[in-house]
Amino acid sequence: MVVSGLQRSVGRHRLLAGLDMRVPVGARLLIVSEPDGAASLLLGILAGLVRQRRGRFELAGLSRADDRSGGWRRRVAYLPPDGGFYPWMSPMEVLELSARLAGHDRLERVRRIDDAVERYGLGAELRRPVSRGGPALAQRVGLAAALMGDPEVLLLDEPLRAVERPERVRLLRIPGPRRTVLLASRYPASEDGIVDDVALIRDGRLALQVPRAQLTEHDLPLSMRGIGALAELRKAGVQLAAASA
Amino acid sequence: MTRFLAVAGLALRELWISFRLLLLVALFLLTALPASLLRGPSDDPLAAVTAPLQPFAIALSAAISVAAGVAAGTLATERRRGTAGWLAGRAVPRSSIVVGWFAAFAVVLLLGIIPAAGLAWLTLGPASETIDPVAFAVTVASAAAVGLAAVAAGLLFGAWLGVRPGMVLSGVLAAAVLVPAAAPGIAALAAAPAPGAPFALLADLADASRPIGDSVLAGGLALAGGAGLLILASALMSRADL
Repeated sequence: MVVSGLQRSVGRHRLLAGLDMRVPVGARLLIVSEPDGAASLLLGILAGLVRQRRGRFELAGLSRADDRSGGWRRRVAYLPPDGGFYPWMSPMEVLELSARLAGHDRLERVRRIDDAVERYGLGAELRRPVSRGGPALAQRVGLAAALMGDPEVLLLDEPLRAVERPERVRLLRIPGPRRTVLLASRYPASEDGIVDDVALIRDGRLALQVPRAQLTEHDLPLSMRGIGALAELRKAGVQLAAASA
Repeated sequence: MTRFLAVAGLALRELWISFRLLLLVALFLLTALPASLLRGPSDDPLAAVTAPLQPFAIALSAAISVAAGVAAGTLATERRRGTAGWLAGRAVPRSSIVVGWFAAFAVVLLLGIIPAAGLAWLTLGPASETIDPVAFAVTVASAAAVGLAAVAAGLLFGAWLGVRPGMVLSGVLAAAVLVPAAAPGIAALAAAPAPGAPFALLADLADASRPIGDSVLAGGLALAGGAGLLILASALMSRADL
């Protein structure tokens, strides 16, 4: 995923001010932002749901503008905080529709739905409206539906907030070595064990993108304060290196 | 085609579950009510024929205006709450979302207008013998075509504006164009290519010189205009944030 010069304002707030970013294949990247709407906005743009004012982005060399057959969209799945589908749909209907829209034939649909039911523990409430199962069920169904198309890039915006932490971590350790996962969160500490890299968007630009291990090396927690402090440290280091050069 | 059918099916179920389908069909059925209530004895045989249809024409144009407002509010709501985004995120083209919703509203319109027209015809009683039933059916079909165009206009506003502004603007605009055409005295609104021409014809069917030809022309123009509005709505939807 290559993002260059992305700009977008919401109201009077310029949340993305020429954002440049590269995300390698297979990365599990946590994106946090100051102000906190920028990370969610970035995912909305990458999902093709929100239009950027300026800038472009590519996925595996394919730009949105080049997308004639919908192939770009099939490579990307986006999970909004609340699932996004109609609350009167049952988990079975959501999964069936998602699998059908992903273009799977009947046998493949049955296989994928069976897998999803087992992995996400949907068996007991498979045919009841999602709204009756509460937000945790809606979020689990949303994640299962997002994965129906076997996307290369998964964009998760505050995912599974209503799910208990151990279960949440298990579900968000999404298999697939070449699957890139971008996760926008306002609560970085809750993403420990899920992500391998951390990025900070500050004032609309990329302020930091490092492996999560660097926080540990500097004895900093995986929190907004810890990520902000690491960004300051690296900025100071760069300025020091420039001064000594 | 799969995607369009999926959206149309979801849209119909959403309209059914939210009672909008029932309310709209009931509203259309109610349009036949003024015709039966207002019909009374008259010394003028021509008035006996035309009087029952004018209230029906006015009520039908008003109901179509409400349907246009509901269409606008519905699409704006779909955008705001993220259900349109959920579909768009699953490789459903945004134009299919607009056309799918249009198809769902077209079904609702037909479910409402056909029985309403039947009821209105029944309320004519003996006067129905002096009105050509084919002319009546063609004029009602032409009014339904205008209804489809009004829904397309509603979807355009829904793709562009928020829920309340979209509902109010499309409903008021449709009412301003269609309802006065059914009322007597505004000749400019009563002839094609004015969108309200079918309602003017319906209101004064016994007096119309070429009701079938004029209705077909007005209906054809409405369908062409509706198609244009639908294309515009799709274009606006493709630029909208979901």
